[in-house]
Amino acid sequence: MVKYVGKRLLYAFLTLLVLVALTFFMMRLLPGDPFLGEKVVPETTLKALNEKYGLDKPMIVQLAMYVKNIFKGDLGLSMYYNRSINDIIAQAFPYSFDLGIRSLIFAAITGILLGVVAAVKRGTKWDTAAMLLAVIGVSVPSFIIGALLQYFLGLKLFELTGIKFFPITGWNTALSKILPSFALSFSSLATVSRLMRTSMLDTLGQDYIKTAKSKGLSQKKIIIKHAVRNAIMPVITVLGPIAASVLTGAFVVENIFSIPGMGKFFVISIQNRDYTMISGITLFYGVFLVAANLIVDLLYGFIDPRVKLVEGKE
Amino acid sequence: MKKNKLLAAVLVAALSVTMLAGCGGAKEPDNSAESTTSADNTADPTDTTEPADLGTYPGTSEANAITVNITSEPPDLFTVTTTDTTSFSVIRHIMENLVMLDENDEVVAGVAKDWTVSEDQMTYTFNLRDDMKWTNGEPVTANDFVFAWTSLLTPSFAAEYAYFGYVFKNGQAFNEGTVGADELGVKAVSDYVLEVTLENPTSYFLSTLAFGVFAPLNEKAYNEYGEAYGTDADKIVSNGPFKIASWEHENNLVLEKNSDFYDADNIKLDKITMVMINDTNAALNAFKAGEIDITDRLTGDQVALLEGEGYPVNTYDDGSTFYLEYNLTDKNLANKNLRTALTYAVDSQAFIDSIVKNDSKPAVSYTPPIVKGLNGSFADEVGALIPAFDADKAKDYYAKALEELGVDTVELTMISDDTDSAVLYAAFVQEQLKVNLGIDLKVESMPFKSRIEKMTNKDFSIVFAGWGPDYNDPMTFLDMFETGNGNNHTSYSNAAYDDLLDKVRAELDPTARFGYLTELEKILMQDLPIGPIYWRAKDYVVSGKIASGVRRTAFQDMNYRYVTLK
Amino acid sequence: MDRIEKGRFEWVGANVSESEGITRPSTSYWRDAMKRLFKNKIAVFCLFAIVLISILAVIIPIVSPYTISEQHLTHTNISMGFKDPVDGHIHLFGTDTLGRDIFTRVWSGARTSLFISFTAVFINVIIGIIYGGISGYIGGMLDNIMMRIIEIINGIPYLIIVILLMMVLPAGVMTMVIAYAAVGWTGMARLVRGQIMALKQQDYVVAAKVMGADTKRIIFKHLIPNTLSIIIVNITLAIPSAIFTEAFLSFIGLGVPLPHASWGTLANDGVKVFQIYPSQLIIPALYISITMLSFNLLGDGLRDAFDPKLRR
Repeated sequence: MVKYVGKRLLYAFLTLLVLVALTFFMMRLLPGDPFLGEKVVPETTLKALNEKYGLDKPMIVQLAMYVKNIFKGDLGLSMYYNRSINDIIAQAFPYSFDLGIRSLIFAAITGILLGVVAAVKRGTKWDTAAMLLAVIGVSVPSFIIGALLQYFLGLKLFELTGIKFFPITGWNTALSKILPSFALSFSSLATVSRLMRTSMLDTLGQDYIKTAKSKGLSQKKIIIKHAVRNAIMPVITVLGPIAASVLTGAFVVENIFSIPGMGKFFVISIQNRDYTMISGITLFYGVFLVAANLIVDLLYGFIDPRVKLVEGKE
Repeated sequence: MKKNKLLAAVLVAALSVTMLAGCGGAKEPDNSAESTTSADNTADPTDTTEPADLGTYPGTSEANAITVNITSEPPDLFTVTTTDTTSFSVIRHIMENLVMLDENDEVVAGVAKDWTVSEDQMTYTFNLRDDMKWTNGEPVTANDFVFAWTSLLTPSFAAEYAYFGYVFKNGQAFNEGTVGADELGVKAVSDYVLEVTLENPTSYFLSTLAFGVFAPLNEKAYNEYGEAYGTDADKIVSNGPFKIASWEHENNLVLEKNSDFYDADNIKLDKITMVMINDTNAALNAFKAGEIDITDRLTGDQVALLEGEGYPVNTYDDGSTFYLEYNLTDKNLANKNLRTALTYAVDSQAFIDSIVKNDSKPAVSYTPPIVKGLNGSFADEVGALIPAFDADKAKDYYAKALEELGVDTVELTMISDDTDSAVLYAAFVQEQLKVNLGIDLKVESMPFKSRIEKMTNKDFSIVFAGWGPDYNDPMTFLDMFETGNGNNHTSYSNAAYDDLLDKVRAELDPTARFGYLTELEKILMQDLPIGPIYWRAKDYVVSGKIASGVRRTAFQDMNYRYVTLK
Repeated sequence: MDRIEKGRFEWVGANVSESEGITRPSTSYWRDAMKRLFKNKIAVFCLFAIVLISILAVIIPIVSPYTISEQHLTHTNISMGFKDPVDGHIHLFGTDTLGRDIFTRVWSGARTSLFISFTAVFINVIIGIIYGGISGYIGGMLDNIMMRIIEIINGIPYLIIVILLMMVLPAGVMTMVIAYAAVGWTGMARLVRGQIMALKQQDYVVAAKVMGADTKRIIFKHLIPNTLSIIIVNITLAIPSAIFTEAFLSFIGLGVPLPHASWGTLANDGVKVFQIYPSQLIIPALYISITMLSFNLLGDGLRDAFDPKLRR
């Protein structure tokens, strides 16, 4: 187990290195550069800017310097904001994490619950209701859900009652966190509940469930002890990447509710060709993604005893 | 036992709902404003019984304070290096330049009490106020201006707007490293007397001095923070009517009245909170719900909605012209008749009515009406040089063009930005050319940087572009089409035009000068390297809380210094 | 009581042809699945709905009196069921900001969106099954490397990939398919791998292995059919995600080139004005939802039909 984790950490490290290098070269292929604007920049200025950010050196040297700085824990200076990327992330990430974790927990718990109920009560009204909710969840994207929630629960409710239940923008009061979290959780909730239902149905048809039933175990015990535990696997698979992306910032929801999180950097850093920023957030996101996948794989072995973590051969 | 487990499951679900609301958010004390809003509304019976009354949009409730939307984070508040309008909007409130602009964009005294101009219009001598202080306690002196302007032109500062400093004697030479800083035409005669020598006589020089890049810079403060100057609330000093109290990046920026400011008596606001709401629907919702007092960035449909409600929408001419830019190196677009046909074939009024939906005007020449001419508006003095729309003439020109080119039809591709409005514009132009000329225009929308890259590489045939003024003179528009100008993406080159530009630069007599400028405008509208579509007007709304003093003009896109409340 | 004479009976022997004969028509796995699918009324109805929408998406833009780009600047943003008293124009679903007929656009959008999502998801499924299947079945070092490659692909900012693709490919529908498929398959691959990893330890797989079944047989006869239900559900989830990725791509400029429309762009435009003209959001949203509902219910039907454990 320890050996496995150690090996995975080494792979994770290599993965991130390749990711950084690949992104580094790909972003340089993008048309334009950080200092290209509507108005032409004087030659001398351009030269000074390129010198300041080391863009005048050969690309491979730049990459080497960048990687060296990463090891020192320094992500460099944003070419657009002129601020340290460490600072920018340190400031924005807590918002995104806060928003992400709320919506993720809500989506996972509610989704799994809905999926289990729908599977157990298959073909009943419960099933239909749960799955209808799931279908709406996947077919209405967060930019619509967010806009509708903000308009109806934020503005219209206020205009009708004169009481401010939910603020339109911001992330400071407890109430202001409800609508964004809900808007963000909707699609993952739908994904989780549908996958859970299917997986649960599969599991309920397995022999060991029948065995457990004939042994006289109560239905609740069967569902919780045997079925859910086995059915949760595919859900965990999808939750890994969802968690990585949701926790590191949700552009659309953050934009609608004006939450100062990380989401916008994934878009505007690329729009601005803010090279250092692109590399910085890619690495940051990469760490999350790799960690989430590692956790998922570890959970596999933990939840499903049939999956062995250490493959015998090699 | 079993019931307990079921109960537990329900509880978990309930708990997860409350998780969304959860605690841990008590760090913002600022929500007092919101709670008082709701208290006010519940206390006021008319509001609850007649929700329609809320249609007056009372705004925020904090006394002597307003909250305004600046839509995005100001990327850089260091006046020497910054280039974007959002940053300049903030700077306008915290910095006082040598001269400032009044509500009509006329030059008024700022740090300079008064000034004299030499006979040849080459030397300006400014007498500075001796009672102004920086927020770090240092006095504001002539040296602060010398330091700021020298920095602007010093290559190591890498100021993108360095060329603004080329107006000073030896400005360009110093920037390019051929002369030393001591030869720059900016001298502090004493602590409170500043002498400025120009490279060429420049009639609009004083009005450019009000622009943010010419703000003073305190050397001591700059040396203290170095390259991080202007990146945080505690890493910047200012001399204006407001100072930065706090700056939470990407979230809000709070300005607080500077009681040391010389004109503090006329500043009625104690606090301006600048928030960054980017989404258009969210901004309007926040305005309606009393979270902000002023917002712009209204879409045409939102303007229509507000006007439908009977709520006053304010409009100002922002001084930009929008036009189709033709690439003259394209074999088809090298044909003048084709360019004329395309220009005449777009119905500008219909464009404004169906998309922009405000007081924007169809462009009948290039330089917009906001720019001053000899006596009044330059555009008025020049008159209409092209029709806003003339389908019949467009067809005639198109027929001529096809004949000259010896083809049956032309293939054209337009590139545009990928923003919602740019895509709408492109769709409109595409359909207009199809209906009026039968041209199937291909449209490629792409991110901003990709578009600029393509324009710079002349890899386009038509682009929907716009240009705004840097200073209040037609030259800010007209010198763009000089042969070899980096902003001249059309590759337009006309020797007569270049000659006239040189004449304008040397001419001291205003009448003759504007004669040349008019001539330039006429040549341009004859050759049509660009096809003007409209002169933009922008909209904004203010809450019922604000009595007066909101300044929004082409050269002061948001100035809330003198806002007074009811 | 009569005695039963032994002589009245004779031995007829075993009727080989009858006892060994096939009483029910011979059926393959797929045919059986289809049969069961068509017994499911809801699934059949949904299949019918999807086919109908697809056919109408082809026909309506052709027979419509308006083109998708035609702008009626005299009646912009009009509501549903509009009839112009002067020129007799009828706009069933109203018009948008530029006076374009929404009825025509929403059907034309169906064409674009369905084509993009079908093609992209099809590519994703194929790549995903192969990649995930190999990775999960072989395991070990290969699995490790293959999964790390997926992580790298997922880690590169999507916008960079899209903008680069946009530089090298002409703007158009196929470019969008490629842009979506370029990273879309990774989710499917991960899912398939996870399933295969769990299944390959199952007794019947072990039994098949012991009996000498080769890898190909094990993968295609045992593992894939048992993974199918999860895959199908994931397809029904992937199709809406493809439609919205397309909307996002349209938004950043790699969308369907003007003057074309898609459901994603229509919904995106609609959400801007829903406070004023709600129908412009409701109509595309309804189309998307109905299509998705059909896909999901059909997916459920397929799941049941393909489930080997429910086979009778």
